[in-house]
Amino acid sequence: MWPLIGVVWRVRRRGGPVRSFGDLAVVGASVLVVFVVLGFGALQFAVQAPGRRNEARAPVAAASVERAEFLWSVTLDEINHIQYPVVFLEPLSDSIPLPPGVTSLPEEGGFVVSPELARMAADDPVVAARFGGRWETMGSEGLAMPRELFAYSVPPARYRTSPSTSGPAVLPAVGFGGPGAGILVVNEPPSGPAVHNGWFLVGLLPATVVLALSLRIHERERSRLDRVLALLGITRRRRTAAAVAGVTILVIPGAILGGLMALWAWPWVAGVVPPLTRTVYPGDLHISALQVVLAALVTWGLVVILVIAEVTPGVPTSAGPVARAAGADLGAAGRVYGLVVMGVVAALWAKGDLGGYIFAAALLVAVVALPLLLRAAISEAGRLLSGRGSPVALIAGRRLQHRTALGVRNALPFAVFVVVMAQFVVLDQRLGDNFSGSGHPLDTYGPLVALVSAEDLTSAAVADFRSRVGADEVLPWVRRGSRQVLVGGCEPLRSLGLDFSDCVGLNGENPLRSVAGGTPSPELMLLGTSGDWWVAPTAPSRGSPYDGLVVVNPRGWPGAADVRSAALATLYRPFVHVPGEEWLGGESQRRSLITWIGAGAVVLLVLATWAQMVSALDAQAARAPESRRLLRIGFTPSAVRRVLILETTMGLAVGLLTASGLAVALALGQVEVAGEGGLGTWSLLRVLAVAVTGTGLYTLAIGVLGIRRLPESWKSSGAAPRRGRPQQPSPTGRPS
Amino acid sequence: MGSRQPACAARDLEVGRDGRAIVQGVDLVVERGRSISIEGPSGSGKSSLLLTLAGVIPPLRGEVSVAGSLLPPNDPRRRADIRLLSVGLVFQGAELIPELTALENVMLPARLAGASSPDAEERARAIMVALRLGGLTDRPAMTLSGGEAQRVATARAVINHPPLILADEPTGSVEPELRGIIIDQLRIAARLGDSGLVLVTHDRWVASQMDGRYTIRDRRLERAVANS
Repeated sequence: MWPLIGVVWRVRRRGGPVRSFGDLAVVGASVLVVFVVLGFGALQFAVQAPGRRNEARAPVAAASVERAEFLWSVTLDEINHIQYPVVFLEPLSDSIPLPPGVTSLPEEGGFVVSPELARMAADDPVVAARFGGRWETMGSEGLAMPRELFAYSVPPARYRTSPSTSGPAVLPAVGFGGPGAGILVVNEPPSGPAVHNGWFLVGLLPATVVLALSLRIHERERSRLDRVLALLGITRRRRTAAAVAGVTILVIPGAILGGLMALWAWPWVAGVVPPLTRTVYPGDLHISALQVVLAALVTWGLVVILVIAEVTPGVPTSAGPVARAAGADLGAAGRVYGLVVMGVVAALWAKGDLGGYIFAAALLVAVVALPLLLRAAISEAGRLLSGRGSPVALIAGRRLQHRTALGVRNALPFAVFVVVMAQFVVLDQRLGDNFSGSGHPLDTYGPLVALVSAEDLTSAAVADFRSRVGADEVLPWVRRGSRQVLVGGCEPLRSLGLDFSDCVGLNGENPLRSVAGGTPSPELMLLGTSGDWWVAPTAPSRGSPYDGLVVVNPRGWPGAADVRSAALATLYRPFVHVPGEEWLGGESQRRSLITWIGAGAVVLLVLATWAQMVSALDAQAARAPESRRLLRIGFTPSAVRRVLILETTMGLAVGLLTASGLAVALALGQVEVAGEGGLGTWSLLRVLAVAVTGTGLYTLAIGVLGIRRLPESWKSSGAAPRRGRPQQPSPTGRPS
Repeated sequence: MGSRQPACAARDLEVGRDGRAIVQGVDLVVERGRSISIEGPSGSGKSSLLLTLAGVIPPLRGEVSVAGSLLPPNDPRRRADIRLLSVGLVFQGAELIPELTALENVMLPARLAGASSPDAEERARAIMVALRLGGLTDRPAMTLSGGEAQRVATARAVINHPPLILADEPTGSVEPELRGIIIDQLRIAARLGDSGLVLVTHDRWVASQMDGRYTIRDRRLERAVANS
């Protein structure tokens, strides 16, 4: 085995500048994939981290009041429009278990506050006064998020709750870290499948494509070596092992470098990470050495799959390596592309998220369709071009028509760039519409709807809550799969802006946005940000508890604090979510997102250019023998150059048209899935502007880096004979 | 046992591609130390027959043995092993690895067959000297001319002293004056290893240099003229 590996290594070492670039590309792509995979994994972990830390401080209910160690209750305070929980601990024994981050119980009336609250109290006497000037700072292990606002307090004796009269919001408890409902993490919207879709789109997918394309730059050499070794009598298994070993030499250093970069860089990332719209704090994206090893193995496995796919099962005897490299379809890159996309779709399907599934399915179709569309379009363009009469057009056209794989490979990175960037633009536009389109200064008028969920939400509990909350309407809802169905009947639905006449004409359950008609009310728009809402005009008789309540109130409502107070006083383990509160901070989040989108665009452009250059070099190597043949039959060097330029630019131009069409279709699909109505003309223009700009940049990159170098390979080749000399075999014996 | 076995024996051989028969009813024995040529028009199946004798293509029917070892039709791994140790292949395209030197190309089959590097190098140098290629040893293959590459390929084919040498149009892409040199080298190489030589060619002069001549006509391999 070792002699074979030695041969592979020697061949790789003496490959010349193109091979060196290819090696560099594989190492770089490995760095990239490991870096992105680790970031993706860390982000997933960070998304779930608050939930896990929240569970760690959740109370463990006592079997009875008599066995309880303490009484646990929670209320919500507010500073600068930001609501935060204050947990009251009332000891029933001398020594009670302490929650994470608390080393000792505060004195009666004292507080243990999160570091961020402590900082605010130190800076602001008004805030300090809330804690009576006596507070201790909580350890970070007690926080769901590093900058969370959160506090524990032991109420003064005169305010203590009698265990015998404890209500539904006061829990007799024996410790912390129990399963079930904990403390609400306020002001953090739930994350959806966006994290999968977004990071898949902007990170994993381009990185995988770059890796696959980088590996393909060696394909000709690997195919040739594979053929010779097969003819000499080396079995496929040994050839595969040698090929894998040859690539492993490059991937492992790249993976290590990528891992080290990830270890250093990701923990520094902070702020709003698109398209998660959840704040990530410094250190949240922590990466362990084990994760680095796993990511390196995943990357190596991906490379092994790609390399194995290239090793021929038998001995190729009729088609040479050059012909196979140029004539093959997308091959391994396309297959991996499709497999990765299908994996994501399968994961989304398993999660049962319909919206994400639909979008991912559309993405799958688009991704699979893009190379096929390009193939058909480039072939047709080649047919048309070859009919224009000139020999240059004839040659360029026939190449595009019959060797479309090279054209597709050349246009694909740029096409992917256009499609992905267009989705960025639409995302940005959607955020802009959401944050500023309603025309309601929410920070002036306050939240307009609140969503309340609780356990054992019976009709009696709803009536009790309704009497306390003082809101205009309280609409119960039930969960049906991923839907939330309002079952309040027609009259209450009017408070959501629904005309009574429309309502009575409805039967069964209907999507809320479809029955709203015209311009939706602010209440409806707010509600629409919190899930997939449906309405059932006729209130069914309920034998089982509801799943939640929507509290609707017009402007002038004093705020969500009343809803929380009422919920805590009347419901068992309530969860109060106020969509409008997220909007108050929305504009700053959007600004962060735009920064990320800009950075993402630059990264994507670099990635795409990289992939483009790899493809161009691959194409260059494949076309060099043909260019030499053209010289021998009488083409001038400038004519050969024109053939190359025409072939390359025509492929890119067709790629532009195809990708732009697909980008617009995907953008429309994205908006449709999100249920936000139509996509404005302005957005469409921006999508197209991205496509055109992308084309310009790519044409420039190709012009500067690619086309200028393409002719040099065949002109300067030592094997190229002068015109008029009889044809001789190439050094490898293949007639050239 | 090995030296008494013919270099190559085919019985009731049917050669084809994609399940379609190209050459049928081939019965052929090539003794060690003997050489034969196979002629025929383009597309008659000469190269396919040669690749079947090499074990690259499994036969549709019949059997082939090389130095007494049967080439199993359904075991490509075993066929590859036999090819590595018992068959030397020379192609119209020399199929050298351009990044390696001429010497390294010649050494390659010996190293792949398990020989140590010094041993393989010693054998390769000896063969290259015998074939008058001593001046090319350190030249990268990518700098060799077509004729030089073909002669190096011949040396590579015999490094393991295979009982059977198969050459597919070895002079097909070289200038006429080089034909004699290459054919001489093939005959020397066969003599060095006491090998049987099967050569496919369009060239009547080249065919006339072999001990026996065969022609493929109407999908049948027929003995043509005995040269000696």
